[in-house]
Amino acid sequence: MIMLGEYTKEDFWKLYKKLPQEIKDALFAEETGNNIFEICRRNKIAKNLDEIVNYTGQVLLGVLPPEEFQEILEKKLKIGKEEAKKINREIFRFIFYPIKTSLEELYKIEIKPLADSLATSPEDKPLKKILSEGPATEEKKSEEETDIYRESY
Amino acid sequence: MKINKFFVASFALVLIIALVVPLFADALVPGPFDYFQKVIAKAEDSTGPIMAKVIDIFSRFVLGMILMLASADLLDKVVFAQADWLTISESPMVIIGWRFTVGLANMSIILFLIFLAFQLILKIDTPETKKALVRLFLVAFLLNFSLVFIEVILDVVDVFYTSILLSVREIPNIGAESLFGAMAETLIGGKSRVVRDFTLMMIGWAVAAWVPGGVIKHTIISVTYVVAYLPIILGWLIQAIFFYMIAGVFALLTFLFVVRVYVLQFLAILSPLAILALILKQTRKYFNTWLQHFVQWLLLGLFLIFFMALGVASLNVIMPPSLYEPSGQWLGVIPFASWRGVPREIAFYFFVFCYLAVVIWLAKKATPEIAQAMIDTVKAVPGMVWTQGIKPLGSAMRKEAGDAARATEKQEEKYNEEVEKATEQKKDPPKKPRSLTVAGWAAKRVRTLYHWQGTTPELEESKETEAGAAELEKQFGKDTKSAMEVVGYKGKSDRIKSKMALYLAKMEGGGERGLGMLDEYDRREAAELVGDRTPYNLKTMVAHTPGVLSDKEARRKDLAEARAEGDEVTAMAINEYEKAEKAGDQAKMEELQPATIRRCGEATERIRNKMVKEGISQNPDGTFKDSDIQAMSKAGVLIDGQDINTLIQSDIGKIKVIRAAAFKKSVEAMKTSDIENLAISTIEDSNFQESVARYRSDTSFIRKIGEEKGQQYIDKIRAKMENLGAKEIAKTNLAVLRSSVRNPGFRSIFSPISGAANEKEIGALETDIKAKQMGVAKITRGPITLPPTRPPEVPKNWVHDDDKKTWIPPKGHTPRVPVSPADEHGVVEEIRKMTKELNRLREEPMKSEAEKEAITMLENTIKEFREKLGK
Repeated sequence: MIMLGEYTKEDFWKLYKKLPQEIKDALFAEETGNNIFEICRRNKIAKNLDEIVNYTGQVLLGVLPPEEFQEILEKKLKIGKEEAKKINREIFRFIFYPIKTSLEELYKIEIKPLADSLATSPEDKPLKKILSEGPATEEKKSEEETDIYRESY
Repeated sequence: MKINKFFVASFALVLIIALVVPLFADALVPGPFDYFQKVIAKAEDSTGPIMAKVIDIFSRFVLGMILMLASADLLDKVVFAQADWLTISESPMVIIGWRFTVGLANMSIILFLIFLAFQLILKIDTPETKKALVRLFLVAFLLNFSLVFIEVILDVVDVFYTSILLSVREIPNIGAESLFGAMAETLIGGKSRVVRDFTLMMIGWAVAAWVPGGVIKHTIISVTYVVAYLPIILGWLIQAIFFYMIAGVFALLTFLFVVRVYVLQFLAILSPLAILALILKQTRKYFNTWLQHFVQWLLLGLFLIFFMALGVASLNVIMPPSLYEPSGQWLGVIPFASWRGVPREIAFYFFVFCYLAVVIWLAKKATPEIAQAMIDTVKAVPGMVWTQGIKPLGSAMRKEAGDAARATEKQEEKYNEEVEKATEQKKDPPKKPRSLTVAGWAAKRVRTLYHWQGTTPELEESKETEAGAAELEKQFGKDTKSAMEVVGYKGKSDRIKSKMALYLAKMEGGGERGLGMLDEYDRREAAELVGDRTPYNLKTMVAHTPGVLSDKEARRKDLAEARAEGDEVTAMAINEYEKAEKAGDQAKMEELQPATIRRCGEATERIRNKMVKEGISQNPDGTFKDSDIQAMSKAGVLIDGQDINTLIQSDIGKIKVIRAAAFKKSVEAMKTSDIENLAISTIEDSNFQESVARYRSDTSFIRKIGEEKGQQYIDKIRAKMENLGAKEIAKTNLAVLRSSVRNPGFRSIFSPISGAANEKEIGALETDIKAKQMGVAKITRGPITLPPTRPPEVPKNWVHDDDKKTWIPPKGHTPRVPVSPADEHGVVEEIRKMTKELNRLREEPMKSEAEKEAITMLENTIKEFREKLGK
């Protein structure tokens, strides 16, 4: 496997050619870039935008498993666990989850949505609106836990 | 009154030729047609559309008249010759044929007689045998005299024909051998009517030509048209419809009467065999069939001629005065009075229409079955001739006419441009060639014909080109090389070239197996041809081969051609130009530029001008008419370091602006899927790279270049971007700079360029652009105009002078009139916004050069606004 941050443009094309079309499109989608930027701005880590873009790209390219994304954020960007968790949750929700099936095929894994990141479907509300509502409160979480009608993931 | 049909037909023919056929000019001695030519040319300026319709209707009227007269004359000849042609005893064909059949019948009778004899001898006869024997003798008698009997019957019928025709001759206005001709003449209204109508039309034109221009001219034309022309035109229109219809009926009758002669002759030849068939019960039906046909053909036309004769007699009774009274012949020349006859004329033609409908119905009912079958066959023959011969030929002629019309219109456009140029330079405008006047007139007619068919030459050409390209695609698929070998390009007609070029572009774009197969000049020609015929494809054609917009490549080709042809002057000029270009000697370049252009250069210029039709022309408010040039100008795009407004001051600068706009259009018109067929030379073209860098904000476009052509070409576009600088790119394509920072995929293949390496730098560039745009807005807005709101508020110590209706300040005090707060509102709001932006910029921790410039600019602008307010 190519090591993180070490791949060249040639390597990129080699990896890119093997990707499912859905992931290819997600990699270059304007929305992907805008979502990453909004997440960074919202979480006040605009200075780390380059790295976040890089790691997100690696996940989409198939060189960084999605479940390691949070860990990488903590270790490489030296950000707190809670903050990394929050960023991971938002990236997962707006970038990885819509192409979940393709990512599962790519990594031969089963991607389970993060419990607290999918209270609503990403399509339900625009990112800016969701972010402006702020993080989910503990009360909301407990409500979700006791909701017997909610389908288990 | 007997009409001289040939006089009318010849006169009408001369009129048509005088109007349609181009005339040769003799500068010294003006010919009689010069007058008409002049009249047409002058009248067309103001009455063009009306005259076009008038001439079209008149042409149809004359053509219908000729057809009707010709068919009537032929029918008269055929009808009056029936008796002579049906003297069958003098016809060698009938006599020879009849002898043969009568011999055959006699032989059969003998054989039958032998058969009956054997029956009687062998005593196997029946009661029927004896009856048959009697019939046999009777038949033997009849068949041997059949020709005599038939001739007697024909003579009897001829007596009826002759008596009807003799009675027709007693009707006024009918000649000795003219029945249908008389009817035609009645419908035409006499040759003097045609002469009168045409003279009236010519008077109208003469009035139009010689009356001074302006309102008077138009009024005279309008009045003349309504009071005198319109009744005549209506008459022509109604008559033309009837003429065609009657000509058709006459042609059908002529055919039937000619056929009647041959059918009766054949029936006479077959008569012995038909009579022979009477002997047996089983064969008697054949005789009945023969008899039925004989009677039908014998009586054919008898009723028709009778009713036709009655019709001619009736027409004279119901005809309007203007049609038959000598005094009424010139009624049409009297304005308003000409309208008097219109209702009567309509009533007259309505009667004729009803009458003809009855006659046609009778003709159809009385037509023998064989005749009907023959008519159907004959109907099919013209259909075959039409579909196999006339239609393709007509279609080809129509296409040629369409091409010629368009070519003429282009020449006219060119001539008008020359006139405009000469007027601008205060020189005498060039004289319009007579050939162009005549061809222009013809072009308008052709366009009218197309219009009648609900189309235009352009639309037809466009459809044909697309269909041709689709046909090639169906035939050769992607095998463009085979298509080139089989169909070819060089030396072919423009029509084939355009189809081939469009096919190549669609299949392989500008690639080696596409338009790349054509040489430098042919590529330009192909783009032009396709652009001419399918204008919506021009941008795509150019996008496939953007080199066709490049003067450099054109010069290279022109230089090679100039050397090959020994054109040393051009070769030298091109060499000198290139030296001056390297040295950056703008003045010399400008001086040499016209001398460097040959075939290829001219084509390049034409394509650019087609892409940017409005050129650098501007609206009264100073904005450019071409939306792309306006967008470039507004964004402050620099071409070779100079802005648009500076560039358009020089000829070379103008070319640069138009070229840049043309590239912008073609690159923006490209679809991502077009990249597959994009030639490598295109991607390597500096102008193409610059246009992509400046105007393609969709990352999918650059990504596709990487997918199809390789990373190295993306690197080239990036290098071009780096070369132009982030500041320049940001003016038109901030999105691509943003994507290079934010987008994980795009960033991997297109790293951010210097000056736009992160969001902060891009933000600063954006602020800079906004600030500049605000500055530009201030300049373009001109002097600040204060919004009209409430009446000005004056100090309380001022006195209102009711007489002068104004406010007077106190004596000895002449203060400045303050601007009311309401009037200030717009300006104050503007200052407030700018101050807010200024404060935001001042608070930013990092101060790039761009930010510093923006701050200074805002400070100056705010100061200027405040000064305007006097605060």
